[in-house]
Amino acid sequence: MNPALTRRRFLATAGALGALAALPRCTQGGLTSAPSGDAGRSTGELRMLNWPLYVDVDAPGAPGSVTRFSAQTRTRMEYSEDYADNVYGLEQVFEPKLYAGEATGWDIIVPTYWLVADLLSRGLLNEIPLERVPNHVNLDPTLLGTAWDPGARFHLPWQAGFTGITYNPALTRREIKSFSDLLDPAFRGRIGMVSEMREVLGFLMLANGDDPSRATVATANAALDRLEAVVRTGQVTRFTGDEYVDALKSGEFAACLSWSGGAVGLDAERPDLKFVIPAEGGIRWFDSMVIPKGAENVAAAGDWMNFAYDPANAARITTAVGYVSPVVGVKEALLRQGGDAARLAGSPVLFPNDETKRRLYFWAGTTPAEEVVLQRRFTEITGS
Amino acid sequence: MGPAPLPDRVRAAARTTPGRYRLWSVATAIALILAIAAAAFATSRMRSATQRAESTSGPVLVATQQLVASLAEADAAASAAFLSGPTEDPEQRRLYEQALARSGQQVEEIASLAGGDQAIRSVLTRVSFQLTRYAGLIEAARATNRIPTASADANAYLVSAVKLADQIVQGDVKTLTDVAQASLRRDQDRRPSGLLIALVVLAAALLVLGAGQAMLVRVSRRILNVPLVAATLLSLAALAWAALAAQRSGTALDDAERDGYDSIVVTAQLGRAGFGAKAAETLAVITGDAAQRAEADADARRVAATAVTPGVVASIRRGEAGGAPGGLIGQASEAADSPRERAAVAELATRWQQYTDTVATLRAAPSPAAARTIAVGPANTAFNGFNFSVQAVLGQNRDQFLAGLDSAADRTASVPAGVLLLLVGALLAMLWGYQLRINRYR
Repeated sequence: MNPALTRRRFLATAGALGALAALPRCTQGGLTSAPSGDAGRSTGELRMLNWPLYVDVDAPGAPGSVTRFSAQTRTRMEYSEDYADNVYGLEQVFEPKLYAGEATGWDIIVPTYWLVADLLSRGLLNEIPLERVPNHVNLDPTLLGTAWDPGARFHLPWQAGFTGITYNPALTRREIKSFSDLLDPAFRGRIGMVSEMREVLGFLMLANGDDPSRATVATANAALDRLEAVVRTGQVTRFTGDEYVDALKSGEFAACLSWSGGAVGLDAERPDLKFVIPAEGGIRWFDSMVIPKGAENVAAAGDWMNFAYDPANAARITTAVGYVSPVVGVKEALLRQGGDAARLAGSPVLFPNDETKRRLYFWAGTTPAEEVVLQRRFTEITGS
Repeated sequence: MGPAPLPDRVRAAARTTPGRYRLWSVATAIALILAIAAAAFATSRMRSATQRAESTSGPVLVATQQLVASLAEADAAASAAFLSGPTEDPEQRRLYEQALARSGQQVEEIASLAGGDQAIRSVLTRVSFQLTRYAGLIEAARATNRIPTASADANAYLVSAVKLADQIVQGDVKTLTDVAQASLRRDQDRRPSGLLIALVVLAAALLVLGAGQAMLVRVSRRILNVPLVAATLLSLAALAWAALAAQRSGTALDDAERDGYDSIVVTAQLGRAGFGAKAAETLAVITGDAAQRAEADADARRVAATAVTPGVVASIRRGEAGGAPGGLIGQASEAADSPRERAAVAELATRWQQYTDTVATLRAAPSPAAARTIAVGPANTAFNGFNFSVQAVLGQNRDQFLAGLDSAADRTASVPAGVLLLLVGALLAMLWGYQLRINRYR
């Protein structure tokens, strides 16, 4: 979920989220909305702010998506990978600009779903120009059913994924099957965890017999109590962003919570490392493309979305980033590509079957204000 | 000896020039006061009816249609969770809970919007009761489904729940729609009533003003009495303002109705018919009842009379579908009035075809177990896709409709105060004008 989340940024999360809750709602200032009904003409220039390593890049003989899109649509595209994480988004883009009623300077930004919900509740997003996205019909409906945007008119999923466990059998000397296995004292000081609150607490809730998709303050605090006890024993070496990959490879971690996209990359590089969805279940999430109010080229934003939702293009992106594509038909497109791409079509991480999907949970149930309080305690525990 | 009777006093006053001026000023004042009263009544009635449409009857109508979408989503998820077996699909269960909670919130929202409207409240009470019953039946089905020997009972509970949801959607929610529609219609009809009388009274006051000025010109041999001319102009401005505001807000309401409301009605019917087809198909999968299949087919034909081909989808996008592929999708494509709305309808049509294609696969399944697997998986996913598309179209229609009502309300917001100020100004100017002439005789 957070391909480049750093420790520093993680520690800043609580403060940023606190500020998020404190900001007044409906702060649109002088931002203009795109005309409804028709996005009009493209200005010929598109600016997109995305997470690092979240699109296929140019390779010899194989231009990346940005290059191909630019050539196909004659659009000059400024593609930035500066969206290091949602804290960056909040601190550098949304708080100082969008919440203050100023244009962000971007036509497309890709925050995580909970932040999208917040932006939408503040009325800061343009409607997606559906008239320019006929490939919208290729989107998996399971990612469109959010309570905060019925009909998905203001956001479109970019990539989805889930959090599970990656372990090194040579170090654990046994199979890891459940989250509770990570809490085995035999692994004290050899365990890593990702730094996303909803994911860590989600696992602890599952371990407690609670359901993270119906989270309450009580069940979340019970999970935090347990986390506090676990951290106090020294079970967890550290909470990380995607540095967990290096920690696994170096042997610092015997096992850790990890993101599905990282598992795909590791599978090729270190097939001895195993990725599993714990017996208790895994935690799902997705990042979405949004068009902030004040965007200058809504039409080209729609064109890019249409390009990205073409199964053949989506398959190239999947091959590069290793996350779950929201586009139906990617599996078939990978098979058509053949070679390594076709091998990915069989990946249970990229294409979880129905049985696996049943064991994946979205965090839901708590309010943004409650989450700020929970996040503060989470940071206190994990930062100590 | 008491004061002389009024007619005698009027006759006495009419014998002198200043007296005649006074009589004309009194008559004109009475005409203008009547015009003020009539304009106050008519414009405030127009404004309150427009605002009521904007804040109450319009949103009630929209929220009612959203209730259909939420119930459809809840029922599709509950059925899928049930059909997935004793170890239910947690994601479907979550979707069910989420959609059911949203249905409850929408009922509360409608109740709060409807205020004291007894007709709406009485239907809502019934819907709330039925929703509680529905949730109870789903829980009973869920609990019984875990008992291996009680699958027939579990099926019976789910069948009752699905039938009840269908009854809520096709019966109570439809009644609610009709009541909300009638309420909106009443608000729209209420707007112009009184305005015609006000305009007639205003025109009469203008005639009296004009006649008074003619008399003044004749008697005083002066062409222009500036205050009286100002009074006439102010009255004319009030007349024009009221008429223009009525016409412009009426146009905005007509636009809202044509561009938003008519589409909402068609989309809501689409949602209900699609849901009916899905509910009947689910019942057929559970019970194997051929009559349910026939019912599902009938509902499906209401949604689209013929297959949605790529050519039809392209035509809808271009606005050239001409009602293809028939049924409610055909009507929706004709009602779509912007490229975005046409795109949303085109997607809705595509997703409906995807659903009907999976239903065909389901029906061709070699065994009931295989049919259940398809019903839980691809058919359910495809139906959710259709339902989300319905919500997207509904959302666009809602925005257009509410924006239209908002615009209509905006156009009448300053009318009552403005018209009254102009008429009061006209009254004062008129009195001043006559007084200037009367003062000449002192």
